[in-house]
Formats: sequence, structure tokens, C-alpha cells
Amino acid sequence: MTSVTGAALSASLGASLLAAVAGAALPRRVRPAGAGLCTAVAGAAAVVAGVAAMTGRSWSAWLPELLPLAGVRLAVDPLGGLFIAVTGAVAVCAAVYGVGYARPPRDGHGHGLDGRTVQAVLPLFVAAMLLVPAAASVSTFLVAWELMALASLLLVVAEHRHRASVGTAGLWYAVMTHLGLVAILAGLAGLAAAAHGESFDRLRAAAEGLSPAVRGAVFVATFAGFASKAGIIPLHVWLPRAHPEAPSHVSALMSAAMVNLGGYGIVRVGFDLLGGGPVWWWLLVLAAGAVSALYGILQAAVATDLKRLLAYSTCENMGLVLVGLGAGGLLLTAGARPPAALALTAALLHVVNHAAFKTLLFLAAGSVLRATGLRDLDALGGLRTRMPLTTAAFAVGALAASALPLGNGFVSEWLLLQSLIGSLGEGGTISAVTMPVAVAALALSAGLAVATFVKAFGTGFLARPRTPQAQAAAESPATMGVGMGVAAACCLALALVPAFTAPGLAGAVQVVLPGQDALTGQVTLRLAAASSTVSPLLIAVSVVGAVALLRIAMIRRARRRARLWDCGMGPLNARMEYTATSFAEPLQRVFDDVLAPETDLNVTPLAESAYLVESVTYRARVGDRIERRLYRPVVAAAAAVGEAARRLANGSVHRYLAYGFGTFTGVLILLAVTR
Amino acid sequence: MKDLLRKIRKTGRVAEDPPERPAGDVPDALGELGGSVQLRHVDAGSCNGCEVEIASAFGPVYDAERYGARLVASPRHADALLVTGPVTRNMEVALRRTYEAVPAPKVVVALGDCARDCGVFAGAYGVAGAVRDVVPVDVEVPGCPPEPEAIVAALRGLTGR
Amino acid sequence: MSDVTYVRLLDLACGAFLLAAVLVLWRRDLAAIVRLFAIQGAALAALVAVLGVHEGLDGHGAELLALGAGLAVLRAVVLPRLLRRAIVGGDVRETEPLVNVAASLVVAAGLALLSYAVTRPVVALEPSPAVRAVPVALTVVLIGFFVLVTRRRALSQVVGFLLVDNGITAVAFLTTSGVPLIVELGVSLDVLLAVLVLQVLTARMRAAFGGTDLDDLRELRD
Repeated sequence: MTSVTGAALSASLGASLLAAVAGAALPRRVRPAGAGLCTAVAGAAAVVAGVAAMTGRSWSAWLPELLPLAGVRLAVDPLGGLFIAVTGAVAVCAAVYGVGYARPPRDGHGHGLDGRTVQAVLPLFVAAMLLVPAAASVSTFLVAWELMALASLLLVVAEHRHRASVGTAGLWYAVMTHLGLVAILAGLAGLAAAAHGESFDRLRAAAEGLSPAVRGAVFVATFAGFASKAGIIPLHVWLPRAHPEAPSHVSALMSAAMVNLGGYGIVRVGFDLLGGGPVWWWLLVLAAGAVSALYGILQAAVATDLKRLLAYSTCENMGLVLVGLGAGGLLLTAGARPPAALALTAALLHVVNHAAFKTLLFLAAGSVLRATGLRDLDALGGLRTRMPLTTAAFAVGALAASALPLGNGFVSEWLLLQSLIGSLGEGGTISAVTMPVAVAALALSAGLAVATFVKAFGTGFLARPRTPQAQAAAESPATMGVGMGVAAACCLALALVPAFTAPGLAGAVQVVLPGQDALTGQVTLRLAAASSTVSPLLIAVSVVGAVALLRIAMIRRARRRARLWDCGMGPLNARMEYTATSFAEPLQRVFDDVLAPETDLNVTPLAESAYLVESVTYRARVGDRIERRLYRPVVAAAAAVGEAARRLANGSVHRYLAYGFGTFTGVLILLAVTR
Repeated sequence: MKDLLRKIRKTGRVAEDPPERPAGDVPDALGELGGSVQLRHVDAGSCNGCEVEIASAFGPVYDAERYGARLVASPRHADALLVTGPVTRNMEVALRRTYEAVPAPKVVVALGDCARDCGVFAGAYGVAGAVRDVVPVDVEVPGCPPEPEAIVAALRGLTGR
Repeated sequence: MSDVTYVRLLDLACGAFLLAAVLVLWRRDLAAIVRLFAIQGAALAALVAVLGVHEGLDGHGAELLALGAGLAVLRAVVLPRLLRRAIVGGDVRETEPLVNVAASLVVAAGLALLSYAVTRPVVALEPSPAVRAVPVALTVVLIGFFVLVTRRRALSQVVGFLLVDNGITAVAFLTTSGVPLIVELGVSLDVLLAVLVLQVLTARMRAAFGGTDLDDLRELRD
């Protein structure tokens, strides 16, 4: 039986393998182009497969020979199709962009990424990310998950020869992603053991009969693993370390496609396999999401490294997705199905929107990094005249990320708010208490998001360049522009006519919540559960129209050229501009208790007298407080245990042999006693 | 807060009674302001003696604000410039730009002998000239430094209160 | 041979086998230890021969007899000769072991009890005279391991290792009446090579450090 979904997915995987081979075998000059184009084809085929699945053409396959002991079981339903389509679209943009990005910049202060490892592993990463939503048994899922983790790890440390911080970032990422894998493995293996089978159909059928303790344990274990992958506080510490150090198109893939799979896992296990659960599950999800949204955007607001800012913004957006999922679960448990469907639709739409604008933002940041060699917002500026295309792309992305009406983030956040507010009547006392808190958290994070992206765009791209490198910036090659352009076009389409996603989202939500569509309409979206409507296209048209009218009205008035007031002694130079640090300083002061910035002040006096100062060094940074308070003690304790265990090995061969002998006889004694 | 209120009650009113309004009309330029004049003070190179007297004039004893005069931070917000000191070479451009930044209608008050004719600093190497050599002056207040009562009288002449 | 004779000969061979191992714990003289090892090798060969004769001289029994002869040659003649070459010059007597002789003998008794307790299910599976002797062989394994742990000289450790191997071979022959020839050949070759290497190592140690007390070598750590 031929199926569009199956054929397209197979074509996509085949094209990725071809791209990997091309990346390993082609000579250096054509390697980026060959591998990049094949990966782009793979991404496009994946989009076709995902869209076909979302519109109802599900597909499954069973390949017993491929994996020893367990075989490979694939099934693409509308929910998986959504994530496959998103991954495919991001892969297209990143692959086309990567063709130009891999070539070294012409002025020589940079390096290229056309090595065999990066070019061959990137398509494999894409293929693994396409397999995860298509997996239909525990072993297939875990194998695909681990492949994704390994491939992304190799890509993150691609530039380790150029910067020392890449190695540390890779280490943190490796440890945390594998701890997450252990948690997911524990949860899914426990579920499979209790259900006496490992295919998802078997798990679904058996989940009804499991005890609440087992179900709860499985949910908590898998939630820990998936939340870590999605970048949820407090398991997020790898994100702001790994994303800045990875090459930019890899950061885009990780931030816009890989972290979504954490959300996919929560939906698949929590809603689909376990079939929903008690209230405390969804309160956990909601609380984690709300805290992530707030903390993530707060850290982004005070971050001066552009890619670190974008990484924390990913934490925030994933937090919003989890808020939607948690709200949906809470409402489902309380029996209010239409509002639950709306909350889930909002969460999934936010996944799509976030993928679109985060890709665009990371690609634009990569363009800046390649042109100037800088990631530090304090040192950039004045890029509007020198890199107009990149500036326009970043502007579209920043508008979307700020959740303001002309951007695509607005639609999904508005839907999320509507689902939370509209559900205040139903759902019992628990939701009556938690929903307003969630709304408040959402509102605060939206406000901080506006501040963050105004800072990022304003201090990074506008005004005048603050360093010679920013002054010498030149626009990026055409392929990078095409990649950014495709992502920008997706953002605009999602912003103006989001209704084209409504049938697909309805299909995806109905996998876990069969019932009527939550969202209907073409130009104006009608919400079934909240009796409200929104029409992004009309809003955009009216805003543009109003601005045009204003401009026409203002042209009539007489204008006079006057000198800017610059305190009389101008002209202002670039060093007097607002930097990112100064822009965020009021926020940092307000949230001082949460952020706990560190300052180092070293005063070196002259040798002759302690009262005369030779030099003063001042360093201020906002570190991640959760990492400091939560992770460092754990790492220190592990190191202490290791040091103590060293004393076990004192060099005496007899002692080592005695350990072996003692264990052997101990086991034998145990055997003798227990039999 | 309690202590503050108690202190206010104990101190009572310190401001002196307003003297007679000085004769003369408000300058034509400021006629439409209705008695509220925003002043931007510019120190074009003074020894700060006049600044001390201005501070005193706006303090609790002489309280120039009750007559409608108010000090503002930016020339864009100002109706009048209050210039002290001889105009030094370094401040000449700044004073001219400040004057150009004040929106019309505007007046310039030259406060103190140095502002009027360079005072004791006439002919010094760092001095470019008196205030009237750089910007057009409408009101002059003599004195080195002028007493607060004189400053208040000049401001009352601007506001008409 | 009749059943009674077979059982008596089997028990005699196993007894000699075990006694040799226990006496290794008692004697501190290195030459004596090597001689005891040779005696144990002979006992093992006798054990295999008894098993072979019991099986019948056609087919499997002849194979066992051949194996027994090979074992006798290897473990009673060749290996002891190699070990004696390592004693030449220097230390003739073992220094005070880490666990003194009296305590070692008590531990040997304890290990015997343990092996009887552990192999009860194995014996219960098939209560033939051969399988009933398996605890003896397992005791020899444990005693050999114990010798490895508590004796200081390198040569004593080699003997301990060889005791373990003897015990494992005995267990194999008692439970399954022999392993395939090729396996036995492979194991024997490994043992031979191990002893050769250890002999060379011992000579090197003596040349480098003037003694082979392993407690002096403490660099294998972080």
C-alpha cells in the first residue's frame, strides 16, 4: 500500500543518509553545498510527510530485522506528523543557511565549518529528530533519542579547537542529556515491564490496568527526562551553555526542533500512552512551565551574549508550551474537554510558532557572528546599514518573539491566555486557584519578553557600531540570506494567516482528545471553548493602514531641521550609546534577589603605599543562580565521594585481590543463605 | 513618617513674606505664558558664587517657586535661560547650542556682574566674552553675587506675579 | 572396576587433591610448596584416570585416560620444573604471610564449609559419586584464591593461581566428565604461557628490586 506519508518519510530519511555520505565523501569545495542541498531536500520531504500525516493519512511500518532483539516499529499519526513537519521546515532553513555559513568569511578572522564530521553528522541529526516522533515502540524511541543526543553532541563540540569554553559546554550537555536518557529509560522500561510488551499499542492498552503508583512513577521519571531536553527549570543548565557554543545553524536546529521533542514526549507519554492522570501530574507540569517561563525570560533580559539570550528565550517559550500542556491536562482531569482541547491547541501552535521565529533569530545571530566575530551585544551596534537583510530578519524574529500583534508569537500566546482565562469557570477549585497565577506568570513573562527583544534588536542592530569589528561587518552570502528568508516567510505566514495550521493542529489534538475542533475559521479564528475571536490579518491590515494614514497626515505639516540636544558639547559618539548591560540594569536591580549578580572588584595598590592605587579591575556578571545553588553542591559532593573512594586503592596488590576474594565469597555466602 | 510630620509641625513656616511686586511689565515674549516660567540654568564659567545665591533664592526662605518660576533640567523644557559667569572659551559653543535648543518664545537672563560684563575676570585668557557677546540678553541682574532678593525680583519681573 | 572400588579410588584422589591444597597453606618453604603442587597435579591426573576407567575403556574413557596422562605431564612435571627454576637464588622461604598459618587453616576449613553449602543444589541435581565430590574441587578453587590474596612472594601467588585452575579443571571433570579435547588443550596452553610469563616476571622483579615481596610494589594507584 503506497502512502504519501510513508513514501515522503522514507524519501526524507534516504536523502539524509545520502547527505551524510556526501558530507563524508565529497571534496572540500563542494562538500557544504552537496550535503546542505541533500539535507534541504530531506527537510522538504519531511514537511510533506508531516503535513500528509496531520491531514489524516497516518502510516505505520514494522521492520523486525533492523534492530536486533526488538525490531523497529514506526507509526506516524497526526501528532507525530506535526513534529515531523516542524523539524523538516527548520532543517530546510538551517541546511540552506549552512551552505553559506560553512565557508570561511572572506576577511579571514574566522574559520569555516566544512570539516567532514560536521557535514556528515548534521544530516544524521536531522534524521534522528525525524525518527523520534515516528517511533512506535520503546526501543525504537530510545534508540532514535540516543542517536539524536549523540549527533547533537558531536555538532556542539564542532569548534572545540577554537574556544576553550566549547569543551566545558559539551561536557555539561553530554552529562545532562544522558542523565535525561536514563530517566526516560527508567520510566519507559518500567511501563513496558508492567505492561508486558514494548510497542506503544500494547502500552496504551495495558495502561488502564496499572496501579496509580506505577503510573505516577513512570510519569515523573519520563517527565524529568523530557523536561530536561526541553530546557525546563531546574534541568535547563545545559541549554545556555551548549547553544552559544554550537555553530549557529546547529543552534537553530537544537533550539527550534530538538527541544520540541521534549514537549512531544510529555504529550505522548502523559496524554496518549498513560491516558491522562491525576491532578498532581498536571500541576507539576504547569508549575514547572510557569517557573521556566519567568526565570528563562528574566535571565534573557539581563543576558548580554546574544546567543545566550536566545537560549534562555527558548527556556521561556518551552515553559509556555508546558503551561498549555499542564492546563490542558488539568482541565481534562476535571472533565472540561473543549477548554482542554483549546489549551492543547494553543500549546502545539506555540511549538510551531516558536520553531519558526527561533530558527530565524538564531540564523540571524549566526550571520552577525560570522560577519563580526562577536556575540556580545555590548560590542555590536550599527548593523542596520551594514547588514540590512540580517537586520530585517532579526526584526521580524524579534517582533514575533515579543508576542506583539504583528508577530506570530502573538497568536499562540493570545490563544494560551484565552484558554487559561476562559477555563476559570470550569475545572474545580484547583484550576480556580492555579489558572489566575498562571495568567499572571504569562503576562509577566510576555512583558519581559518585549523588553528583552527590544534590547536585543536595539542595542545589537541599531544606533552606531561600538567596536571596530562591528564597524567592519559586511552582509552575509546569499545562501544564508535565503535560509533566513524562508524562515521569515514562515513567520509572516503564521502571523497573518495562522488559520492554515488549524486543520493540522485539530488533527494532532484529536489524537489525544477526540472531540470537536477547538479552532475554526479562515481569516478570523473562532474559539469554540472561549467564545472569542481573533483575526490577525485584520489586525495587521488595520495597524499598517493606521501607520500609513499617520505618515500621510504628517507629510502635510511643515518640518524644520533642528540639532539633536546632546548636552551642548556633542557630537555623540558610539561609546555614549545604551549598551545591553545598561538597558537591562533597571530590570537587574528590580530582580536582584532572583538573579544574584556577582561582582569582582580587584584593587591593586602601588608597592610603596596601600593608599595609592595602581589599577582597578571590575567584573560584573549575572550567572545562573540555579546552577550555582543546585548543581555545584552536587558536583562537589560527587567529587568528594570520588576523592574518598581513592583511598580504596592504596597500591597494594594484595588489597585489590582481597577485594575480589571478599566479593566472591560474599556472593557465595549470600547464595548459600538465600537458597 | 511620624517624625517627619512632627518636624514639619514644629518648624512651621520659614518663608519670608513676599515683598512688593517690582514695577514694570513682563517682557513681550513671555506674555502668553500666564505666569509660569520654566528656567534652565547655564553655568558658562562662573565661580559658583551666583549659583549659591540662586540656590538660596529657590530655598525655603526666599522661595522663588511661589511666584511661578521653576528650574528645569533640559533646555527643551525651558522658556528662559538663566546664565551665570563670563562665557569661557570652552563653554561658548555649548551656550550657543543651549540657546538654540530652547523653543520660542524665549528670553535670556544674565545673572551677576560676570554675566553682564565679565566682572573681575574681564580680559582673562580663558574668557571669550560677556553673555551678550554670545547670545542676545533680555534681562540683567547686577551684583557680585546678586542678593537673593534681587534674583527673586528679577524672576517676578519675568512671571508677573 | 566395581562400584565400591571406583568410589574409594575417587574419594582417595579427591582427598589427596584437597590435602595438597591445605598443605600449601601450612608450609612456608617455597620448594615444599612447589612439590605439593606437583603432588596435587598427580592427584588430579589420578582423578581423571579413575573417571576414565569407570567410563569404560572404549570411546570416552580412553579419551579421559589420554587427558589424564597429558594432565600428569603438564601439571605434575612441566609446571613444577618451571616453577623450581624461578626459585633459584635468593629467597627460599616465604616471609610471614599476611594471615598467619593457624588462621589460614581455620579459614580453609570455613571455605570448605562454604563450598559444601553452595554446591548443595548442584549435588541434589545428580547425586552420583563424581558430582558429590564437586564441593572438594570448589574448596580447592577458594583455597587457591585465598593463597593469592594472603601470600607475599610472587611464586606463592603463581602457585595460588595454578591451584585455582586445578580446582576449576577438577570441577569440570567431575560434573561433566570432561570438557572437549580442544578446550582442554587451549586451557592448558594458556596456563603454560601464564606460568612462563610469570616466571620471567619474577626473575625481572628479583633483578630490579632484590626480592619478590609483592607488598613492596605499591605504585598501582592514582
